Amino acid sequence: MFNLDNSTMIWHARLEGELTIYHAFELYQALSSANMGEAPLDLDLGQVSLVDSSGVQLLVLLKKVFARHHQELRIVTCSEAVKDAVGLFGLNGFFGLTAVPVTKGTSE
Amino acid sequence: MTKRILIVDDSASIRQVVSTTLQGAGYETIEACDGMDGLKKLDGSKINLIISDVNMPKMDGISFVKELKANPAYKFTPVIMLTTESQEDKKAQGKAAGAKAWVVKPFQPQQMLTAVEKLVM
Amino acid sequence: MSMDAALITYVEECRELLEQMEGDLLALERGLDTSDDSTTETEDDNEIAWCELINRIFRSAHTVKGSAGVFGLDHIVEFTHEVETLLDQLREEKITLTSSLIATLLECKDHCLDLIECLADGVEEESNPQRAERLVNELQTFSPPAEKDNQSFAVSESNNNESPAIERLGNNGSGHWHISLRFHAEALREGMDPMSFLRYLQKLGQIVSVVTVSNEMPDNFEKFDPEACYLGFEIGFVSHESKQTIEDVFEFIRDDSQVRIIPPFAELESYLSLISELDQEPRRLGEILVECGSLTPEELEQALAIQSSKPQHALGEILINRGNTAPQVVEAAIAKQAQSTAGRSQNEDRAASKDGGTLRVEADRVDELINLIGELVISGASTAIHSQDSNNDALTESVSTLNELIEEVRDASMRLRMVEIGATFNRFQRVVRDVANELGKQVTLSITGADTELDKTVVEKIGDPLMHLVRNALDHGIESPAEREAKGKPLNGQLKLNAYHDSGSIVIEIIDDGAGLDAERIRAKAIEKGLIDSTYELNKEDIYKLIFAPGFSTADAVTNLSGRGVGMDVVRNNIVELGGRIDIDSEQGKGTKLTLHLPLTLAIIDGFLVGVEESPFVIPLDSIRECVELQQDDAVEKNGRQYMNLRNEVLPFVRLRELFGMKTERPIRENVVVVHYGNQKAGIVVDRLHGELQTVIKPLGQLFSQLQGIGGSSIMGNGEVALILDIPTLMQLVKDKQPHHVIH
Repeated sequence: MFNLDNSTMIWHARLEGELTIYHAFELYQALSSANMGEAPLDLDLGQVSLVDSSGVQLLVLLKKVFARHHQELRIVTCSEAVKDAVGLFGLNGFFGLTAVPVTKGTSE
Repeated sequence: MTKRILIVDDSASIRQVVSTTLQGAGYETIEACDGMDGLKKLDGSKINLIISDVNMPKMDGISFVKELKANPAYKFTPVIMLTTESQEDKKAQGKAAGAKAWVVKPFQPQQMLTAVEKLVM
Repeated sequence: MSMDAALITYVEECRELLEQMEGDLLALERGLDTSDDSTTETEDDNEIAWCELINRIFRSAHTVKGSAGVFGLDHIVEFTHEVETLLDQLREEKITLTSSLIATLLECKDHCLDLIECLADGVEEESNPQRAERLVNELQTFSPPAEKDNQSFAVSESNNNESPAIERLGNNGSGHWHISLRFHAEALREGMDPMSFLRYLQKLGQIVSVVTVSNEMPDNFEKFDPEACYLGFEIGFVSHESKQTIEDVFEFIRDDSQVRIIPPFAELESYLSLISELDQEPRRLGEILVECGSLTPEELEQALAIQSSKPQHALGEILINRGNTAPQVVEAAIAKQAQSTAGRSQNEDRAASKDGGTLRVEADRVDELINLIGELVISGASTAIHSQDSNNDALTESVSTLNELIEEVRDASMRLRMVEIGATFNRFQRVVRDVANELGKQVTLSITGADTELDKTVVEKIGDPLMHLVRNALDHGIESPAEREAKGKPLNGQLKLNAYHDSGSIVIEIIDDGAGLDAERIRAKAIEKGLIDSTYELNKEDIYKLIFAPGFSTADAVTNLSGRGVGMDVVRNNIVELGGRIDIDSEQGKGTKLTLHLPLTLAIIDGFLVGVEESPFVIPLDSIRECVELQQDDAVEKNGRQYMNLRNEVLPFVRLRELFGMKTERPIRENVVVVHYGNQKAGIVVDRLHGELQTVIKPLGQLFSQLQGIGGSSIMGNGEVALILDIPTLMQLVKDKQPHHVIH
């Protein structure tokens, strides 16, 4: 799920499937054990099929954690489901999503 | 992705009306005739919402919700309880068990749809 | 599936529920009677059973009402609501159970059933307002005086809030609603997903702006609980919906979460109070409101200025949508209480619950299935013949396995139609009670074999005849208490309904310990009525059968019960039509036993295949006594009727070829199938005997419904249609009439 690119010193992470309450704990564990924060993160959300509030909340947490470390978190690709949810919560600006390409076909 | 709703009620006609209404709104429905039967329908497949009557033979709605909330695969699934105006205590019991939404019987089909849509849109 | 179909389901469901309700009420009544003279030891058991009975009665009324509401059947809702209210009070022991209350409830049940039956006929309104009103009044006399339905009003809107204020303080800000949400931590775990509520809002109007507030959320992993909810929202919302509608969106969360709704053009103070309630940083929230477009920057400044000039507590007095703190506290208390009691009841429920769900299927579909399986049986049979002809052992063997399976499938599918007779029997509790009361007799009905299963069609059709026989037993059989006392019998008469299976048929017994049949009196009456000649020598059994003769009644006083113009002859005909028969056994002074023998199902019979010319006919096997070759010398014709000598017995017979107008010459050798019905025998003369077979009855089309002597048809393995003979009618033809004139 996570991969630190040695040449650029950027984390790459790819979340897939459902970012919902049923997977929240499992995702949280994976994310928190990765000990991130000392390098920027490029997040690929292109294969996320379903997001609920807990999913958005987890992304907000990630963003906050990185902000605390003064590191950047960028969403580099996102699915329609992500775009939809983030948009509904008025968080497009917060995540800098406006310019991020949207993958088709994996959303609800 | 179609949302699936489990309807647990011992009245076949209520199940039928609710089912018809929800299907008309694009939901997929499954039915169970009491709590016991309801538990049998929790086979691991995805269920987005559960509508359950309180007063049922075999296993009542309260016990059903308690069992449901103990099942990891469904513990976060929202539950709409069907109560009646004279069942304030049942409503409280239902809420304590984990059913945080309710529809008061007798209800119009549209009321049910509205309640469902609030929880799974 | 349509709403109409649901309505049909509703009608069926109500019939069942009301029937059960009646049974339960009667059980309660019996309990009431016995508890008077019972000792205290059994009281506890009684009480548990009572509670369950009352609960079940309540549940029945409740479901009838609940579903009625769904269909918008207000008259049923109104009426059943009254019944339900009373039952609820009964449940909570606010009122005591009396026999007059049960009598009223029984009548209420009858009224409900009438409403349901009207509904079945398409009448969706109160059919008997007078009775409804009377019953409602009666019900209310049972209610404790303080308790007149204030419960139902208590729930409806306790917070009747102000209408949207048009007046603004200072400059106008926005014309949109402002919704402020702070979800409680458990929201996600409870399935209350904020996202869903926001999506639903979009349905009611347009969300012009959203600011997600996540102040409460930690900024490190350690303190974060991924399943807790840290979210809040400030929402600018344009909608033409009413305040009520918008408030109702948050119906399910407003008890636990913080929901504040400010209507369009609300006073600035509304925003002020919002700011003061929510945030330690008024400026930050104020900025959010500006961001939402709910306030202009000028308004914010103005508001903040007002706020700093006013003491804090004043703001609390103009809170928006503060609503129901008190009920909330009460509810929380109740919830705690509920937790402890619910744990207990859960175990009880588990112990009481038994496995086995039911599936409601339209009878037509089952019939269709059985029909198809019937065809399958037939083609299975023809496959078996062909496979045998092929001399291919492997094929023969697998076909035979296949046929065994088909038979199992058939048996299983036939069982789908099987229902227990208990429900039918239980209906008589009420009848016995009412009729006994009317006649001033004391009768106890006991039921055994309630779980005996039989075909649904048979069940439906035996209802009326059974009713008649039961009434008859009460009316003519069981004596009045005075008479019984004089005879030294217990005052309480016993009526017993029993059912059991006996070699492919179901036997229903109606046994009373009444006066029994008086053979001499019946005989005298029959002679008087000209039913028999006074010179006839009849055995006891034959005399008893006379009561089934048209127009026969031995009762000296015609009561309004049995003397309803429908005689026992109709009862017998009904049973006969079902392919059954009635036997009578009686001992004078001791009682009477009526035994009904009925086929388990009407769909399949064991038959005997015979042939006339090239045409196959099926004779129901159970009506066949024997088969013999017709000795032409023994046959005589007299007055247009034909007789033969069967071992020195005169046997009337009929030739099928003549009966059905077949024109070809008789073969040299003919066979006689001796059939019986009741105590009568007759011969049916056919060309050939083919043997036994099991066959599925298909009803004859409308066109042939007038055809006498034919009960149905069946398709043979080779595709040919065989007609199934209707023995009772054939017997009648043989006996009464000259066959040539009957059928052409």
